[in-house]
Amino acid sequence: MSDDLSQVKLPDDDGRVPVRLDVNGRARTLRVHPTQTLLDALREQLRLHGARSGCGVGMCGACTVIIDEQAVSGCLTMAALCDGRQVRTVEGLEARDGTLSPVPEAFLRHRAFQCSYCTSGFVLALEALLAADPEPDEAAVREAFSGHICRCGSYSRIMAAAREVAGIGTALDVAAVETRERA
Amino acid sequence: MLDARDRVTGRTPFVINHEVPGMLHCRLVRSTAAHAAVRAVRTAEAAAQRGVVAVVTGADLTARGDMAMLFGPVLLDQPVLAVDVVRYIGEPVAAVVAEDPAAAERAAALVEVDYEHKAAVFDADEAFAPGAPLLFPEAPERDPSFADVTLRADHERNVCNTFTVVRGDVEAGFAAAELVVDDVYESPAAGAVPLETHAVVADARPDRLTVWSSTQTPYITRRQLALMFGLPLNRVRVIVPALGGGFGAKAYATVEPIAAALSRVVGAPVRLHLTREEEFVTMTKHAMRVRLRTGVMRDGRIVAREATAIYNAGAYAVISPRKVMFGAYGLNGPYAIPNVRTEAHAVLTNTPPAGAYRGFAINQCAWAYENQLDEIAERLGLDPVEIRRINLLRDGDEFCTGEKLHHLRFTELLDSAAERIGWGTEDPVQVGDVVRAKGVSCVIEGTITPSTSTAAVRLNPDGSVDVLTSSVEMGQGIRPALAGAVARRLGVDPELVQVSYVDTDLTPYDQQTTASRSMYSMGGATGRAADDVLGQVRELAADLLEADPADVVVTNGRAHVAGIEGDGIPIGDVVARSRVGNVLGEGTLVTEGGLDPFTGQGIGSVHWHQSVGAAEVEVDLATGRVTVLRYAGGVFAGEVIDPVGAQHQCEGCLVFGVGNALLEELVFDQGQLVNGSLADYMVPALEDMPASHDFELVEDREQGDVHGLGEPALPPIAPAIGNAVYRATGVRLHSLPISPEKVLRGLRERRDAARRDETVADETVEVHS
Amino acid sequence: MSAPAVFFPRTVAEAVELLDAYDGSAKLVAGGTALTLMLQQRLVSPEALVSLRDVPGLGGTSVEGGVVRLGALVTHTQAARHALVRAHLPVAATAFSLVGNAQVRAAATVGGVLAEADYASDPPAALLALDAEVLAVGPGGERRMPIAEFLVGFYQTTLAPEEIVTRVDVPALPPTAGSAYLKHTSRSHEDRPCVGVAAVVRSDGDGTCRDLRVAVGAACDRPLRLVDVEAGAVGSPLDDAAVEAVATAYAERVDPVADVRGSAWYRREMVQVWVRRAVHAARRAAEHTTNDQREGAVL
Repeated sequence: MSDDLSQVKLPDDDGRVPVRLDVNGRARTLRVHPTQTLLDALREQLRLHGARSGCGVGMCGACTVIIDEQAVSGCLTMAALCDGRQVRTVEGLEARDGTLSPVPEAFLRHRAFQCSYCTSGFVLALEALLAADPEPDEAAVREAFSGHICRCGSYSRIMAAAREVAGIGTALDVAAVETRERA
Repeated sequence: MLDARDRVTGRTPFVINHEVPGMLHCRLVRSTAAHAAVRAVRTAEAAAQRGVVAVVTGADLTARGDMAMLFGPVLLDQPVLAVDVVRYIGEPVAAVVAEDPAAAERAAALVEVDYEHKAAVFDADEAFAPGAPLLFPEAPERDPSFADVTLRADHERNVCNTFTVVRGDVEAGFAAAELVVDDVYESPAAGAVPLETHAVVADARPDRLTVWSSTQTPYITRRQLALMFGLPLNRVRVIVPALGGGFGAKAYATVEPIAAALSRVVGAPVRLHLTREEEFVTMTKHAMRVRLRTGVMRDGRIVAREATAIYNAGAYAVISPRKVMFGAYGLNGPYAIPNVRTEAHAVLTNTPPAGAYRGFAINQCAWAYENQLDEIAERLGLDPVEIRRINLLRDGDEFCTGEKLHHLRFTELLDSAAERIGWGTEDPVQVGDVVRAKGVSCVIEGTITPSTSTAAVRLNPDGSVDVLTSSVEMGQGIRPALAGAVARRLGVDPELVQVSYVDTDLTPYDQQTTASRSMYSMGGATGRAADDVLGQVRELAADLLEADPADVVVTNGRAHVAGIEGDGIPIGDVVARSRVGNVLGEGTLVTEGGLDPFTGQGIGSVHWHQSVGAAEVEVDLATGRVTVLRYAGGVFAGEVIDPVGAQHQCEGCLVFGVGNALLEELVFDQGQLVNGSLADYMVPALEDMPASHDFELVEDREQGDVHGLGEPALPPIAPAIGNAVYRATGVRLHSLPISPEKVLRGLRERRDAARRDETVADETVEVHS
Repeated sequence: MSAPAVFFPRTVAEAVELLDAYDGSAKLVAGGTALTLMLQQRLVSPEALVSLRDVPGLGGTSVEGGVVRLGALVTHTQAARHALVRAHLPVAATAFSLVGNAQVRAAATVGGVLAEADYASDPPAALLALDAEVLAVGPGGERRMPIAEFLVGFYQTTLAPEEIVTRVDVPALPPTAGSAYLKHTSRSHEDRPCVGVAAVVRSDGDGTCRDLRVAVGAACDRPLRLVDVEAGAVGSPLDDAAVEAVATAYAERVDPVADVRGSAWYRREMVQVWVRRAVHAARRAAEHTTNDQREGAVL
């Protein structure tokens, strides 16, 4: 926390207050309504569309972002209170040259998505977990995925991707669709 | 895979990402009355708020006189914004258009509406009874273009349509039956809960309307909007990027007429993105009550079935007039029954409109008949798998619609699922408070028939291929599947094939993305378009090869004279060297059929989905809590185009099935939804899913038919779980969901009944001693 | 509604002063999850938001004189994983680990969950069973309240609008005590509790019960403890019949709520089941610790 951060933020004539954020390694200054969510600020002002509104009550995980190493719900976080913080979104997991970090790379390889509205949330939850615990067990992965809903039903492939990138087991016990040809 | 990278980097193009310069935002004011006359809408305070551009009421729209106020796919019964009457809590009454969403939302809270309450009716049976409050004292007009639905509406009883299937002599069947079981089964209203709620951006100009929408029915929506605004079809452009799930809830216009009307009023583009709470009251799964009477012989043969399904359609008809047909034949189930009379009524009530939902009424039917079949089996002393084997439809059997059925694989599907779940091993097994058991079920389901899909395939001079299709990508993976199918047909690398998103200005007609029809119908259309391309390529190549077109063949993406593969020309080069710019192939697939609405006879479906399920559950006898441990499903797929996509679709069905079975129910109190949030309405999370599952997809490539897989795996799931719960506990629930509380009550009733029996037995002993 | 001002005070006194100055129209923000929700749903419209983020000293966990001190800004995740909490208050660690989901636990705080007094929550019952005390600072200085006096009803506490919860003091469980927190969900695993029960058991080597504490959460307006029932079990062996008697007493005396997670009838039944199960689990944990001379309970 730097000293020049104001201790008081009084709304301007438009009812907005300034916020300084480090977003995916880039310093950004926004003017937000004091009660505006971080999710709205990222989407509407920074045009970062990877975090999405799904429920508005912190149950679905589609709006997940990482703030100072913690995966949190963007819909339950006020942007004005994030002043001076580091925010990472799914867009930050892709380098400029297109290289993906291991988590989205694993999701891609396992095709661990259907409509993909929830995907950023699962990806960031795992990303935050691995940053804190590079060798999580299955229970830790499942715990990190609590609060994430995949309504399309890609859970088994999501878990397969997560197991691989977390180094849990080797055999894929993804429930396989058995395709048999019969005469 | 097509666009896969975007899916993991947050770049998938959803409507909510779409911005148009000068775009305004909208928030709706919704009815707090279940059934009322709208006396006044006070908007002045809201209109005076900073950032507010307009506050619009139904009366304002009517006064303009430049748009129809009523819409609906079959009946023109839904007002864009309520005019004189509101018919459910949550119905849009007014709209605030503002510069940003927060301003619109703040102002919307300031709009006041005066209601004069009317008698309301929430239960479909009550609405169906004589003397019930009427939602529409006068019959609404029809949308002229839904001619394939015959209406048997009865507005005196709030019925928006009825469908009847009659086969054989049902009275004679019951007279001959040695056991008749008669009961009522219920499924509650539920939400489809796509994670992306309905979203639309509308840009209306005096002579043109452009809509970016999360709809599953772009062409129907285009037609609905054209009718509403009196525009030719080609002046309405519906653009559909990726959907964050649909599951039926996004079929037919809902938010599009509102946004389009508002855009007209303010002369600027308008975005409307529903909140989760709004989503819950925008489109629901039909609550359904089924009275089911089945007559059987002692050997297990079903000889008669009579059923009446009462659908709670909510306040507006939407697609209920068509959906009654699916329920009416669906109640026959996958069994050869000589004498059948089934009837389905869609009844309007003062609850949110019910529409399409994954499974399209077959879930509710299967819950009834598969539940009852286990009860019958028990009373006859038959094994549940055995009674199904006795009755399952076989090749050449006639369905209740009079259609002769082919390619039936029910018995082997069932035998395989039973084997995989370990049917026949010890069951139930109890350890402490926890008991485990298994259950099975079988379901038949049709797809929408008649139906039409068209597509274009374009071969570029570099060999790359564009598929132009109006199938909506909603996560089911239709775009990669079509890319794969077309690539295979043309013999090119799937990476060379691009599949369009939907834009009705550019992509050819498709009826709709529902009913698990796309892989069959659009797959067929694109296949024909690819064949058209190949035909043209052969003609062009014949010139280049100086050969007779009849001798030119295309193999592995190269055109060559038959038998001389080495000298072939890559098909892209054929395009380039012929200087035709590109080769554009077209394909159309039209299916024919339809049923008589009074007898249900005719062609119900171009092909029939066959699906089975087997579940193993664990029940905590002290709490009533049910856990699904394992699930084994089986579906006849015809041909699997995309194995991973197929697996995804089946697991998606499992999410819906487990949700329907154990968790999901929209709870209303006097028409007010009380659990309209994902904190209160539960959908399955990772930990709620079975620890393991597998789906067998049976193929028959010689038949050459591709079955859609979006829905078929779903309907057997809830009854399989219900039947397993019965075998575990002796508690047979007739209503979903199977909540711990219902199970525990059932256990207590059984205990109390057993105690009463003991008491009687004791007394009897006393008498005799 | 005009936009609220946002304050980041640097001391508790400053924060109290702000709350006092706004006279009830300012909202204190800790983790912010519940408040953000209320703001989005327009249930509150404060004139100021007072964030505790920059106030040092509220985020620590320590043990002093046999008492574990949980700072008000300690998050649920931190509380659930902290070595001191796991060693001395395993029942609380479990309860914090079961709240909501991972994202909520990462943001929600110990002080926030108590100040919100949501009946359908896990930690209050555990903290009640542990005889926790809440420390709050207001214009008149610091005061200390047993949690039983702090939580008074549905979303109701004795905290004044200008008071701030700064710390929760929880007496460490003796190493020989066994404890358990069991959460019953009646729908999704991710649902809030239908009923949650915290139990603490300490017995002599011969099986005589020396201490029994049972708190039932989520079943009624605030966590329920029946000290007379607990006391009645002390001095004799906590056998199955004794456990059942305790469970029956709780089930009979609870005044259960009815909501989407269960009717009053079901809740009462679940109180019986889960008090029994929690006391059994705590008893097993106590036997385990007694036998192994290990600290805390494995849950």
